[in-house]
Amino acid sequence: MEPLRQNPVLEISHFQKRYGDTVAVRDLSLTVEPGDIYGFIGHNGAGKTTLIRSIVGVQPIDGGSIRVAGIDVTADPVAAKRLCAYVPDNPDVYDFMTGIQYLTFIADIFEVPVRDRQLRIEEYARRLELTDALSSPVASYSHGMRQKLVVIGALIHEPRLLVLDEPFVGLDPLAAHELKRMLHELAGRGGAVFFSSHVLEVVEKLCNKVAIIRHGQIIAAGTTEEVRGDDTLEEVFLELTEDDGRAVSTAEGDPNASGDQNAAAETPSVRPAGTPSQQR
Amino acid sequence: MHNFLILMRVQLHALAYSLTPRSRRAGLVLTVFLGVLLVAFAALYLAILGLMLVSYGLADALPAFAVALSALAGVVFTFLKANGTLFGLTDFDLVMALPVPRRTVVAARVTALYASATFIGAIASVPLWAVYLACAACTPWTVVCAMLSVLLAPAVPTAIATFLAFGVNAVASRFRHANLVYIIIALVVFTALVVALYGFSFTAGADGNAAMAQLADGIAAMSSLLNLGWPPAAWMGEAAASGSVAGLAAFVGISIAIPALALEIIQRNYLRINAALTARTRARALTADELRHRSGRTASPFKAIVLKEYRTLLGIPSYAFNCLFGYLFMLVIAVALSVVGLEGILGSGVIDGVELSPAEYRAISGFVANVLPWIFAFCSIMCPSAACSVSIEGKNSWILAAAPLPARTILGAKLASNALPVAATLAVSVIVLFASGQIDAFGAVEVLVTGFGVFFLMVSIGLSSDARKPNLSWMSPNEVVKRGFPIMVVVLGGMVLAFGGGAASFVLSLELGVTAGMLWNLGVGALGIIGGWLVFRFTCRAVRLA
Repeated sequence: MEPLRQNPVLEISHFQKRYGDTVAVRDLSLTVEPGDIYGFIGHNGAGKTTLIRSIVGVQPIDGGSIRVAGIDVTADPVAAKRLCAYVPDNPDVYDFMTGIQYLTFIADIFEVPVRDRQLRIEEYARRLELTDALSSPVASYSHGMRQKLVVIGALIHEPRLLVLDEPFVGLDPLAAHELKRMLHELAGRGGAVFFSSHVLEVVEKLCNKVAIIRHGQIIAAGTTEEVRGDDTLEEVFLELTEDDGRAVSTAEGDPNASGDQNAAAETPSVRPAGTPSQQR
Repeated sequence: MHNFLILMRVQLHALAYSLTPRSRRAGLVLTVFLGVLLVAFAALYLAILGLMLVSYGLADALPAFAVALSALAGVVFTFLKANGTLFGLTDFDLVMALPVPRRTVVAARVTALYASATFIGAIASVPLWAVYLACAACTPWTVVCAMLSVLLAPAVPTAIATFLAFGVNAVASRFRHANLVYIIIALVVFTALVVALYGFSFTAGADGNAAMAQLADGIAAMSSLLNLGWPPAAWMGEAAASGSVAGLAAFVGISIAIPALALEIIQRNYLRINAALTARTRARALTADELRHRSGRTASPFKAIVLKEYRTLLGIPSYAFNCLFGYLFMLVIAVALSVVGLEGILGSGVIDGVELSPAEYRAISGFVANVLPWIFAFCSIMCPSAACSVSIEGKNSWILAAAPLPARTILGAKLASNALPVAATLAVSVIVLFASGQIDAFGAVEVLVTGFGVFFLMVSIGLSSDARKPNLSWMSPNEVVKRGFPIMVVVLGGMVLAFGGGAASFVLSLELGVTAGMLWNLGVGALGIIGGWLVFRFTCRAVRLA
């Protein structure tokens, strides 16, 4: 007997996003299953934050679809957002609130029951060593403390999908270690984590799946083992970047070339999304 | 010098950027238009004041008044802008890491403050000097005095206000509720100033030569006090009126020496000053019970956002200053009317050009009473906090954008956080007026419905504009709470509606009877409420807060 198939926690299909005439992300598709910790890497300006902001409903999409646990984020954004949590790259929160005021505000917004919010705030604040600062105004927090506060706020309603943009920036080693444990625990409870990072060692160790984006297109995706093959993730990433550099250099050196970097980047020089490394 | 000019250019870019409304050409045109209008209005008002002093035979007091006004403008401007321009900088680390002498960095910042203060001071002092030169003495000497006064009068006050601003901000950074105290003090002082001004007008408006003589004596006494309290004003007064070279030399010398000394003190202690401002004291850690208790407090999402809006309002002083005065004015007007009575105010001459005898007042009391709701409508549009409440989220906008709430809950909470206190303040004002016998029950309903209707319509339009095209990338909250397009729409549109509606009510009462005016007031108020609601519903459907 075939086991019951669960909806993917995140299903992105032919996603497109433009800023004016510039195409930031084109025809991007990927799937995140329950229990996945999905790493999303790419150079600066590749389209990582654009995709992340569209997943959590902070910006509209221009094409394709994004589904969270089967719910279309465009058709029913409120229901989709209820299942998501977002940690942005800049942990900007209301300076005039204290830490505890911010957390209860988020708990109110997500209508978290009293007992659950009390337990979660107490536990996560203790683990991230933020308890002593919760009565202080956010204005007095360092970047790392704000990051911890936003992480606690994101976990307070036990999201099905946790989306993080560069979550380890500014965290001390202890907090970074604790955050990794928390992500594992969430995935272990059937949730999923989707995050972007430039720290490839962390992605390699933490994630069971990885996607690499370049110029708004996924150029490699799959399980971490598939994507990296016999190399390290860093080597694979650098290899793709070098290919990109060569393609651009060639285009620049060719008097007939248009100079369009996007066109150069579309050259299918590396493993396509979902293609195992052996097919390189 | 080269580094100084580069740093000055950065300051000018920052100033131009903060003054330029983004993405709306209409906003830019409106800002420029309003700026010119305000400057022209201030210049005209001060010129009239100058002419009044000349007519009282106090022309020689004009130079001292001009210096004092420039000084005051310099003090107020510097006090408000020093924190953020000279210290407490967001780019402090970046600037201080540059291979530029500290003195140059500080000099560039002080010069930016001084130049801005001089510009504001010139708006205040040039009209007075113009009157002096036109009516008292126009010689090369007085022209030189005037030019030096305009250029140098704000220098010493700017230097003093810098230290004052540092002291206040250093103390404020150590108290959690310093913002609130700051806002309350400013509101009380401003209200006291308005009440005192109108009290003065009330006295000055009283008929008779004795009152006029009393007023002239008062101004002369003020002039003497000014010369004693602010010696540079006295020196310049002496230089202009009696050609005192020593007076002018003292004025110029002190205007250069004190700022130079201040610059040296600041640059030597610049690192310590900034450290003192950024060192915030932490609150006591919560005990386990306290944490459980505080984390157990719950509210519906709607109520949570309403409370958050109040925290935002009180957490950003310039937001509070711009949006809280209307509430105070409503209460002050209600109390003033209940004490003096509408008849007393209209008979006192406190309102320019209006001075009615008791018989005249009785003849038109019904028409005048019909204008009263429009005065409260005018005050109510000075409470437009919801109109920029989407933009004020700024870099924190991701929090509500990612919240699992429909636009109607978020915008509804923002609107309610503004509408509830306006309705409550109107209700309190109406109770005060009703209890003191200034209005009857029908008049009370008129004030409530008209005042709230105009407010609700205009603020809903403002909120709609803000939600559709928010400015989330502001660098200073002033960009949205003072110069934002939605706020301008509310205030200017509301003024047109209040003055136009009031005038129409008066004319209708005059032509068709008092009842027609009453019905007009109620009708416009009710239409405002319905229109505001329709605008709000349309906005909730049309807007996507993402």
